Amino acid sequence: MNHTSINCFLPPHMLTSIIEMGTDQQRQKAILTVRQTNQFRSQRLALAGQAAAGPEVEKGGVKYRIVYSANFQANLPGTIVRQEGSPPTGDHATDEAYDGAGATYDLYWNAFQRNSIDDNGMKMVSTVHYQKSYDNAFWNGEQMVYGDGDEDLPTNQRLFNRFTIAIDVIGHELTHGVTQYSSNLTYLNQSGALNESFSDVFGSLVKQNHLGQTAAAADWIIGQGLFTDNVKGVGIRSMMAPGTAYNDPILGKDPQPAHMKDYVSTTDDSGGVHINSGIPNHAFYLAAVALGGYAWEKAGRIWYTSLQRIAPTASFQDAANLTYSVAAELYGQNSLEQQAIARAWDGVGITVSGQQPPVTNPGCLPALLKLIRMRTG
Amino acid sequence: MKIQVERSGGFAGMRLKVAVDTDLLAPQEKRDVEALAETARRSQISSANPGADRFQYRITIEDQGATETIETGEAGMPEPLQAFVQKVILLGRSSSK
Repeated sequence: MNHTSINCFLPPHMLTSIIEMGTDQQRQKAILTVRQTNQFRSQRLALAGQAAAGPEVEKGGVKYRIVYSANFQANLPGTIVRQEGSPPTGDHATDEAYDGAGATYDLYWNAFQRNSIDDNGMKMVSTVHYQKSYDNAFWNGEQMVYGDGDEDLPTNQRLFNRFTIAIDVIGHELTHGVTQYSSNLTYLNQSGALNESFSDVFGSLVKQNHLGQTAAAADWIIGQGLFTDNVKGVGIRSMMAPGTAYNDPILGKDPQPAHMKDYVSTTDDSGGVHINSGIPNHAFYLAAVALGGYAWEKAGRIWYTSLQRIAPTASFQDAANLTYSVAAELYGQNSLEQQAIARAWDGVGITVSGQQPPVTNPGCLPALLKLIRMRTG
Repeated sequence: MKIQVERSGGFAGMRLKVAVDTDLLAPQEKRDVEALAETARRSQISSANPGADRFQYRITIEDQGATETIETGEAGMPEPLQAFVQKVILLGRSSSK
């Protein structure tokens, strides 16, 4: 990555203004800069501790949702069907996308004091009714997009319901945005599987928070309700027992491993990002159940803090080491919490080494140090 | 012309594989699909692949002894290639029922 030092210093409000008012070229560059700038936050916090974190924590949360409809076409974002403060429309996909984004915002704000996707009050944009027979939901780098599954097919041929039907899918997609504005984990192989796993973790926490469930009471299924009755399966993935979510004559069997010994090497699916995510998913489940209570309180906080600091190309081992050191920072060296994290990773075949992965983006380091001196001096 | 489309990735991470042999199609449909294939092969693929949970495609076209494989993410697919892939998936699914 190449950065000019000016990118590190342009205040966010100026960049936002360029995004709103500038030429196309300026806008693209400013959007990129906002993204890159946000990547440096974790580094800055690590370097400056509370000094830099203070002003950001103090600002109030601003929840703003916009839902568009693609009207069964592929154009994004489409036409506005609902935005913040307006009443329910009666269209299931629209209202679920709106409510799910709200529940996700609330978890991030209440549990982690994060103000939306970029931690700066970014509008949460969703598009529903994307294409026809579209069995997918995704984050396109700027917004969430939801297909209607097979809802246009005859009932007996349907496999997927609309993708907004499961609140954890919405939490999963929005979390891809959070990750992009935090560590920006590279979407390939192990770092990609970690990116996926963070989305499943916080997606599941959104659901547990919404239902008021403890770690022990939660089902830890991702995408429960997505399958129609024609499919033999309880959901898309299981964090409690990866590999057991479905086993169906048409769709096949859930391919997720729960342990490093079953790690799948493949070039499909960006290096198996939706397959090997089963391993870190299960580690989080083991940690959350061991720590007890509401999973977002302790395990969730450890994972959230780690997401702000993890290197873009981190491996599973790096993630394990980082969560282990973060647990010591939050709960004390050799605390019960830290021991539980080590045991959780051990349960998926990873032995934590206690060493932190190297700090990334050294190109901007001098500028960051200067910024910190300006703020604190 | 023998066409195979393999799809991976997406939120569900499930694999889909369909194959179509245009010689087994009705004459008009065969002409349509082969025309779509020609346009799709000439279209420019972008390597841009932002975001997450997008589909990933591997498209294999076997024609007159030559085999061509196109690998691309959903986000980088030009319109003609998208239209071609959608058509092949539709045909492949209906022939497997």
